[in-house]
Amino acid sequence: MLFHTWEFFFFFAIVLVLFYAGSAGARRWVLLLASYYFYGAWNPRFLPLLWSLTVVDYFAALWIVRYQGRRRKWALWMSIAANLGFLGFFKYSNFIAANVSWLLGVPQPAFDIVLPLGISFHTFQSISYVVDVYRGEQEVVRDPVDYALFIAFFPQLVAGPIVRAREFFVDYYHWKRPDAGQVQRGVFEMLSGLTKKMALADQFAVLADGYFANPSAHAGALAAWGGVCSFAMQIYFDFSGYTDIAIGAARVMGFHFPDNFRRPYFAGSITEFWRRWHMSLSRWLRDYLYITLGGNRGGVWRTYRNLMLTMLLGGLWHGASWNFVIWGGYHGLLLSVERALGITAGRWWRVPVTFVLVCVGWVFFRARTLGDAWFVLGEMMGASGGEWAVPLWLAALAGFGLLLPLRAVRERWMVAYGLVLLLILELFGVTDLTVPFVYFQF
Amino acid sequence: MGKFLLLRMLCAVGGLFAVDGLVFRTGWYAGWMHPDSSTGHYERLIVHEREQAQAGGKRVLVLGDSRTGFLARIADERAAGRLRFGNAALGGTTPRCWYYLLRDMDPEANAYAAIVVPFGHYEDEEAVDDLRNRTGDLQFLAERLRLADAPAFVRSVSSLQAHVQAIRALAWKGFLYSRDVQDLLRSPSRRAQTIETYRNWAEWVYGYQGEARSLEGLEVDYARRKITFPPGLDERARADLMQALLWEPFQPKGWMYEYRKEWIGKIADRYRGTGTKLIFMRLPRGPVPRPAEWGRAKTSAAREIAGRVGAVMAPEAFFEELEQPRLFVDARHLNAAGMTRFSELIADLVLEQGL
Repeated sequence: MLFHTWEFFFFFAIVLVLFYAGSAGARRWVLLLASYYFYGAWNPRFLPLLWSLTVVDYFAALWIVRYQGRRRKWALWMSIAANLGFLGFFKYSNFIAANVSWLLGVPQPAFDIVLPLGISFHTFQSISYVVDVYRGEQEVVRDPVDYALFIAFFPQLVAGPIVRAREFFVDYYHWKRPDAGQVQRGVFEMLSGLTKKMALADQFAVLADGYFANPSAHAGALAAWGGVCSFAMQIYFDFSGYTDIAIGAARVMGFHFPDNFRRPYFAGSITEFWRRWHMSLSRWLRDYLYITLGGNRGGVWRTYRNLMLTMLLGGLWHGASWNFVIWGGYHGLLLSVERALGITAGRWWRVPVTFVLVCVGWVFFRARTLGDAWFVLGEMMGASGGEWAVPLWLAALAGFGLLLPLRAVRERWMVAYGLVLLLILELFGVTDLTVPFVYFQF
Repeated sequence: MGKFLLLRMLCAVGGLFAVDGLVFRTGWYAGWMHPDSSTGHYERLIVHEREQAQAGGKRVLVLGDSRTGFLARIADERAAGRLRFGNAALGGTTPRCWYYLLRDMDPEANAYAAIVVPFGHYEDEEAVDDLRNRTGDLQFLAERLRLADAPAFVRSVSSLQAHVQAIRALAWKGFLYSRDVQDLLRSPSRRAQTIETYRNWAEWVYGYQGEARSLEGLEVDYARRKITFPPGLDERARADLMQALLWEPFQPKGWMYEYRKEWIGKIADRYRGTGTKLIFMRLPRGPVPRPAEWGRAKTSAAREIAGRVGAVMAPEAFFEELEQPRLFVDARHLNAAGMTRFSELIADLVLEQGL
């Protein structure tokens, strides 16, 4: 059930009616059952996996607060091992097998492992909860239904944002019926997300897919830059569109998710880019990986090492392939260089430079193979022309889309803003093919 | 949950309706539409036929889709001035499209002496795709459907998805034109050139002669489900022949009967008691027709309607002489020689009616 389908909106309308019609006690059951239905609609076989991890982490947190010393630590590591074990098995088995086979020079065993939807997100959310409880930053949740809902809450279950327990439970335990302004904002966020996804991301997806399916068929620097910029736009509008729908849907029900994007392509440095791009993941990596590794407390070289490790693992989190590792390493390297040069935020001229650097990274992210990635990079640096595939109207639309979060304009001219979004959806929305959200594969 | 929210949402949706109406319901956009689109062909056909009707004389209109390989020039020559033929056989159209075509092409129901309506079979044999849910019809009807048509059109589809698409397209026509708008924005100057190129479309269609190649050498052993292909046929053409000729017979579900009763019925009712004679004909079935015993349909909406309104039904075997590989270009379409003979036979069929 994709967020941009009629099925989702029927489902959401029914959930809203039941949610607001129900008593306080019934509401959490409505949300929990709806969330499991939502997840099961993709593939009911993975529901037991979600339930297993929920049970493991629920009890792990209880043990952490009940016991002291080694038992407490043991509960923490058991929880982390269970989460990373499941994640590793489903996500990285094929990758590990392929590399081991290559090293040993033996044929790769064929594993038929399907990646459970959203596993990368809900495992990270679970880990953050258990670690926060261990660190004493989060009170343990004793009601299993409350905890299960925190993990499975459908707006953020499959692709984030990665919500911290305290953010969720503040709204949950002190739930207030959202006022008209909040509902209005939520509805327009959903509309904005739909527009980003269907009219922008899916339009750019056609161009990016066309280019990356066979880069050698589109020779020339202009063609390569067109393909790469198309992907840059696709992934931003796709993921931020998804996030807008998730945040809007949660807001309509009285929950407030953290922002996940803040116009990242206007960042003046890579450091700033990561403060604006997939912010909930950046925050997670900082708090649970970078700081755990020692952060910047162990001297310059340790700081660089920690940065590199964090970004390499962050890259690997995105997907089980060397392309993602290189992408993560590339960003780690850029962050280290910026740190060494003392660059944090940029002047205006650094914005296009940062965008170009980000685009170079996207090549590894999107290319099917490393060979393709090097080829595309070679073409981008080349002097030959080729054909620029992005039509002017789509570039103009992207410009509008990149500026969408201008809140003042949006709130002052609500009706006009809604009308413009609807018009864009009507005339430019891709409705004849269903393009899955990019981040669903992670 | 916020009365202003509802009001603002209604304003936005109403605003969209107004802007959409200004652009797509006033005829303004029609002048910019791609002439080689489904809507473009459909609209041009209506305009052309209206002009022809004003020229006077006894006119005959032949409806159909791409299988109706009709050449008006050949039929006109055969009729030697006694009748003038119009060709409304448009690839991809269905009886639903024909109904709206006639409604707007001939608003007074008096422009034609006869209208020829083709059938694949007189019995209501069904294909895999349910014609009721063919939302591609909307692409032809984009300029023609009015808000008043919405109830009848929406009722005529059966699946939920088709309902949603139909309602959306009828309320906001921009959904139907979105591809066309995007293509126009890509290069307005190229669009203007294309529109200019299509100014001579009517003469081009009238002078069209059809394709020379044929399926000569094709043999089909239906008992063994084996096809001997003509030499030089590529894989795609072979697969197409296999698919078109050897599909396993299945029991009709009854939708074709209902569909024809509705849309052919509407056409028939429109001309009932007028001076226009309706002539039903069965098209040539293919280069090597499937065995008659493979037909499963027991009903015939065509016969029922003809009996009810007094339409002429051409003998089923009228075009059987055309059912041979040398007259077909592929599994469904006649070649130049086939189209020529087909058009002569249609002229003969109409002339036989003593119009």
